[in-house]
Amino acid sequence: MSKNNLIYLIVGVLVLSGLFYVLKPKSTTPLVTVSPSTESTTSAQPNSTKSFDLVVKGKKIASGSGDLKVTEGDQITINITNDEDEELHLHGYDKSVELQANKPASLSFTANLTGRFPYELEKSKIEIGALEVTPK
Amino acid sequence: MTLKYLNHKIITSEQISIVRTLFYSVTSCLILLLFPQPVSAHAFGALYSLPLPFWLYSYGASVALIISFLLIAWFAKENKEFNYPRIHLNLNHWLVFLLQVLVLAFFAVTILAGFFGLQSPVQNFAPTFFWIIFLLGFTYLSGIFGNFWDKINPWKLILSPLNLKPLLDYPKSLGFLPALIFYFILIWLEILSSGLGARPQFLSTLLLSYTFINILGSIIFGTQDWFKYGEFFSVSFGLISKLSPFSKENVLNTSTNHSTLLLFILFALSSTAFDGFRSTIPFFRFFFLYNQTLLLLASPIFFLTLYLLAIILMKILTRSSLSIKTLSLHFAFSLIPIAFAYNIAHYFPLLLIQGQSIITLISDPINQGWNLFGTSDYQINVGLVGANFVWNFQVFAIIGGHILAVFIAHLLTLKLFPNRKQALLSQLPMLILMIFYTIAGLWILSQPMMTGGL
Repeated sequence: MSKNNLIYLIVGVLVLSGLFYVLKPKSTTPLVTVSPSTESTTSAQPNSTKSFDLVVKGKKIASGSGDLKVTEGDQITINITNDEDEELHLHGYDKSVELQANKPASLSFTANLTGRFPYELEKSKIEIGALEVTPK
Repeated sequence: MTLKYLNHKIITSEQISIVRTLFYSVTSCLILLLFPQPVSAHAFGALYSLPLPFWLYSYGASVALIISFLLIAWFAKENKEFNYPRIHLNLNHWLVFLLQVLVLAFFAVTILAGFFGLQSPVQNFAPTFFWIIFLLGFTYLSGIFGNFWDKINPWKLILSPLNLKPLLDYPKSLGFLPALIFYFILIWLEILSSGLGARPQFLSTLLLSYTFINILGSIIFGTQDWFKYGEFFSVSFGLISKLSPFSKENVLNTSTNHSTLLLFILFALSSTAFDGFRSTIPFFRFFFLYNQTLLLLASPIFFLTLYLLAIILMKILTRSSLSIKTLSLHFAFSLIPIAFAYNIAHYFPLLLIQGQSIITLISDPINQGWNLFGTSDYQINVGLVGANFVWNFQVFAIIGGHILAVFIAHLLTLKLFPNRKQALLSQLPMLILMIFYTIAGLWILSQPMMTGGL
């Protein structure tokens, strides 16, 4: 490899890694947008507890957005009320909860898997929202 | 009742098979009734990827931009002789034979599983094997190891020994049109059929029908021409394998000879982009009223328009006497790495996560309660790749594809324009086009996603 080629290679690698280092956010707490009515955050620290109140009517979320945004490690509680007998299933985490018509049910767990996990009304096979777990 | 009836008859093999089919249908119905929810309730083909964070999107976009001009500066510096990398590899014919036997066995098992296994997409061997392991896995392996598919294609293995002479000459003016039509049907079934393509029995029927089409195509046009122009997987894996350093036929020593092949490559690009785009919020905002099948059909036109604009610009800049058609066919292969990178970025997480379920399924491929390899209790590890890994992987795959595309475009330029100044000028429109394709790919990956309807 000639000297010239080597210089180009080094510059290329420097650009790739330098920009990555410069652009990567320094703080480990990601930007999480909090939707006002559906969510109550009890503490802003990492590994916080987050609960969401979802009301489902006619197989659709009636209470704001169905996108639940949390951070890896958070303690999650999803309270859900549906207007008919159903079962809620969260993909990826593979968690389910029986829903009785108009009776609140809840699902609690630790968000230890990162990614975007849709949840659905299992019997009607309709996805109504997704849990977005951002890495720490 | 049934038993009594059976006792009084001499049972023919046909009756046995009917009874067996009945038995399987009844048991599978019973099992479905007993367990209305599948035991492992993962939706088939669900991706768990998060949208790229904004900083990674900006990183990818700026790197694509800077690296592109760095590459151009490097190309311009001095007269360099380039060749596409080539590694010679002699395959042991016993290994090839073993692979052929394996591929035929898997082909048979897939079809049997679809017909006689449980009719749930995630619990049946056929959908996971066909859509994830075979379709994605062989795409990636072809890109790395070259056109091994040509040696182990089960349809070719069945039909080649017959040495069918064509009844009709294949109309060369059609080009790769049959393969392109199969491509569209395949993608439609994969992403727009609301799960129809993942229904085991349907899938096996489809594979048998496709086998029948291949037999018919070979009888009419001869094995050689049919597998060159008509059989989808031969065309698709053949194109991708041109990137492999192990390939005898690479992007440089072969060229596109028909516009249907250019459309095929553009559809590879546009269908993946479309699949990513249709689950984002911008898509819902602007396109939710439109018919998705028509949008999928129209998607390559968008990419083609931009490509042709770049080619026209190239013709103007270089004052080339070559026609736009010649130029556009000449540079078609430089788009393969971008299409390949889109595919990897979008679908590789699916192979890594849902692909794991093949470990479980293979121990009991026809749902008989077997445990052939002792892995029937294996549980998918969703945490195998986290969001951080997927993000970095996606961005670097797309940047890698971009660099390879710019490199190939440069090689193709040198082949066409011996004049250096002309060569460098001709490079600019392609470079801008590729930067655009790359940033568009990253942009789609970074968009917030939408679940359910509005």
